[in-house]
Amino acid sequence: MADILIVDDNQLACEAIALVLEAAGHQVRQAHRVAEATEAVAAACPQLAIVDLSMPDGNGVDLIRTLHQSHPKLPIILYSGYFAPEDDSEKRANQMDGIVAVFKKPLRNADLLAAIDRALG
Amino acid sequence: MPDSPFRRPALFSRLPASAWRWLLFCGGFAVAGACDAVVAGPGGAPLIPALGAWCLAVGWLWGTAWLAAAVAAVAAFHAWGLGPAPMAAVPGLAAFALAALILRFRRAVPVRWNGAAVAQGGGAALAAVAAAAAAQAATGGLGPDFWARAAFAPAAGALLWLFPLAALIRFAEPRMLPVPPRNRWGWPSGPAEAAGLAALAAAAALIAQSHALGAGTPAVLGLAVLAAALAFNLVGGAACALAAALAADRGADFADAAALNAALAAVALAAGGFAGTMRERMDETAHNLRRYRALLESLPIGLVELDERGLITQANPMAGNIVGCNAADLLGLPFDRLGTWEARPVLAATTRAIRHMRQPEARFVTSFLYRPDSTPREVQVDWVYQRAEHRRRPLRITALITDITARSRALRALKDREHELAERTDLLRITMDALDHGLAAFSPHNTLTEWNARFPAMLNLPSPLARNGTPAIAIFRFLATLGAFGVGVTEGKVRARMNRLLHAPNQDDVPWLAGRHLRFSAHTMPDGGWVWRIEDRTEDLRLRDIEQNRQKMEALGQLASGVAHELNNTLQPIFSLSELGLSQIETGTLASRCFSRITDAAERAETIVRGVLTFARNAPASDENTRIIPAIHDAVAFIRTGLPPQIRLDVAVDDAIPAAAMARLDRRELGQVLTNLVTNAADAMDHAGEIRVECRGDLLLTPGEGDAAEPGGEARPAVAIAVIDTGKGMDHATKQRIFEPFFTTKDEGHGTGLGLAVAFGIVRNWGGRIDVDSDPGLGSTFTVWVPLLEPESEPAEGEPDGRHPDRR
Repeated sequence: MADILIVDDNQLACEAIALVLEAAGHQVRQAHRVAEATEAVAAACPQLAIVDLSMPDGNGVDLIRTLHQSHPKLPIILYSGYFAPEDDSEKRANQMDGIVAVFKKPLRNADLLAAIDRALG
Repeated sequence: MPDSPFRRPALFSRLPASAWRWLLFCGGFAVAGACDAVVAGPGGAPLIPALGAWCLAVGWLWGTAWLAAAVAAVAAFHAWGLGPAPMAAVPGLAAFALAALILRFRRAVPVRWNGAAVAQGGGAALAAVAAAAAAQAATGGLGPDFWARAAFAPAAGALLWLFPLAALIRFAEPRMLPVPPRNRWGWPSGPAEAAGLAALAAAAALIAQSHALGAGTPAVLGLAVLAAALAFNLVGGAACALAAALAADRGADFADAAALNAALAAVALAAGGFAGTMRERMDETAHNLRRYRALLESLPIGLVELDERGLITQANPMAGNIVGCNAADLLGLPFDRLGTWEARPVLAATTRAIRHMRQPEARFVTSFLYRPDSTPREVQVDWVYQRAEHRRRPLRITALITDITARSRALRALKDREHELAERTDLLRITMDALDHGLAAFSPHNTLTEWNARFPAMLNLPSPLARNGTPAIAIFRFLATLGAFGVGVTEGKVRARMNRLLHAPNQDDVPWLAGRHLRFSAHTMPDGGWVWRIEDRTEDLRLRDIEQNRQKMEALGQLASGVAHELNNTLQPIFSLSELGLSQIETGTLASRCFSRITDAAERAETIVRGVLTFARNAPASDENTRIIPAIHDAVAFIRTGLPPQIRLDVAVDDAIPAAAMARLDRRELGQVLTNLVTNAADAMDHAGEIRVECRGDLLLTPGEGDAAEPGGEARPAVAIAVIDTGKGMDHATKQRIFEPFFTTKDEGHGTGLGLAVAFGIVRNWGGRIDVDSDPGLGSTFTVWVPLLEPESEPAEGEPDGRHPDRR
């Protein structure tokens, strides 16, 4: 049972994933903007962060970079609706520091939970 | 003949000239005969000599026919037995012979009806009388009656009769004997004076001969003769005065005195007349010569006269001008010396040739260069020569020299300009022919005058119509027969069409035969003609279509991509929550089945979105290198398993493709492209028939055309994979939209309309393109152009497909 931060500007998707994670027993915090995410992390560092790439007030990649600098141990799962099929931006994202998994939307519950389990070890 | 102020009586003008001659001849003859008879009595000795002189004069004045008539008259008198002895006829015959000789040499020139001619006649008569005197002297010997026998007096009397007769003729028929209006001293010598003086002289002679009136008579006679001579000539008159003075001194024997007086008067008269004639002639000659000189000097052409040896005897100033020296310096030079070295032999040969020519006269032309100093001039020489029929007269050669340097130069300049014009015309023609446009010029009367090679080719005009002078309407009628204006067009419609195409500035592309598009425009020319320009717009329109299509696909891709990403975001909660819901309830319940369907629908939506993204994406090229031929075979083998058994799928691979040909692409993508194309083909054939996949190699894919990813690059070697079906085909409008996402001709519910769009997107990402060739009812051919890798980037022999960039 872990403290997980979900950062996604799409509230419907964010809440749906939060529901799935809560059903799986995790404690979930939600942030819809980069600023909210930064505040949440500053308040209490989560055990895992799930971050969408596009934000209304910033870039997911920059957020990930900031998070990794301030909390190098924080595992981050990146997901986005903007990865095209077989797009190599997905591969490139995979190589960023701090990222443990990359998904493209829509992602399946089983895949997400398995990745979380792996990340939390 | 100058107009005479004298007016002829109407009576005479009504008589013909020949009648006049007869009248004069007979009348003169009768008067002379009567006078002689009065003097010497019938049968007197003087008759015959008088007749002889008369014959001579008549012959001289009127020609040989009259002379013959006169001789016949003499013979008749002789036969009549009135003559003293046969020898008396000798003077007449001698006179005849002399006259005949003179006439012979004068070649029967037209008689000049003036005083000089009459005086010449007198001279001739005098010669005849001298001959008669010599003959009589020979027969009768010299003696006291010699003068009488010599018949000077009657002969001279007859001679004197000439003058009144001439005056009479002048009075009656001025056309026959016109009188010089004035003699050279301004003495009035009109016909009236002449006649009066001559009549006076005649009367005096008659009186003197008829009656012996004493010693004073000869002086009177001499004065009369003087007056008569004065009427004609001053010198002659002076001679007569001298003779009269001499005669007055003799004064002894009347007969002798009269005869001598008359003879002297005649001699003086004749001499005076002759001298006057000579003077007149010399004046005339001098005048002619002056005129000739003036003419020569003012001639704009050079005139050179040559003698028989080719030496210059005369040259006018212009000739000197042309040659470049004084005309006088030319005299005595050989003519050929004037020419250039090249021309000299020609000139010499020409002179020689003229010398040996047989024709009495000729003209011909040679042209060559003269070299006066350093600048040769081009001249033309007209040769004129006259060979007199008399051998002693020298050959006269005249060379007329025309300086044609300027003319030749102008001619050459003209030829140069013509040449230049021809060159420009050629250039224009070549330029016109090199144009892509069809050009045709029409005259103001709407007939074809000029056109370039493209013009008949564009309109499919046969050569009989592509001809100078073809009326424009004929061309349009022909086009109508080709069906260019639709089916069953009337003449009026053809004309209307012509006027619209030719005379309205028209920028529309006109659909033409064989799927082509032409644009017509007409430009009016200043002379009222017009130039018709035809532009083949087919290729432009095709490229424009392609470009428009590309832009459309790009816009569609952006739109689809945006929509797809939003859909992905939206699909996320559907997936998450339906799966969560499913996990929270027992399987088999209605709710479980509901959640399960929701998940299925979401998956279906996900597939569609992925297809759209595949169509729309613009990803960098794959880093996989794939052997194209095995990949095609694998893909076809896989596709075949999924096809219904009624469909045959054949593969043909061109030998030109090397087995090791590589392309930078993902073989799964190749499989997807081929699957989508074959599926589309199978749908078009209602799932029965034959589909062929043909691969052709040795091709070049030109960039900048179609949908190549990198326009403007170099042409690359490529493989074309054609998927050919025998299905229902499609029309142009369908072809235009066939690759648009969600465009489908299939029934509702069959197919998503994404298959070809996905294939399009994938192939574009390879840097290739897909072409469609299809006609309704004739099946379709989709050709996928796959750019190949350059041979040097191929992996070494024996290595598996691609996927090892790190090893290179």
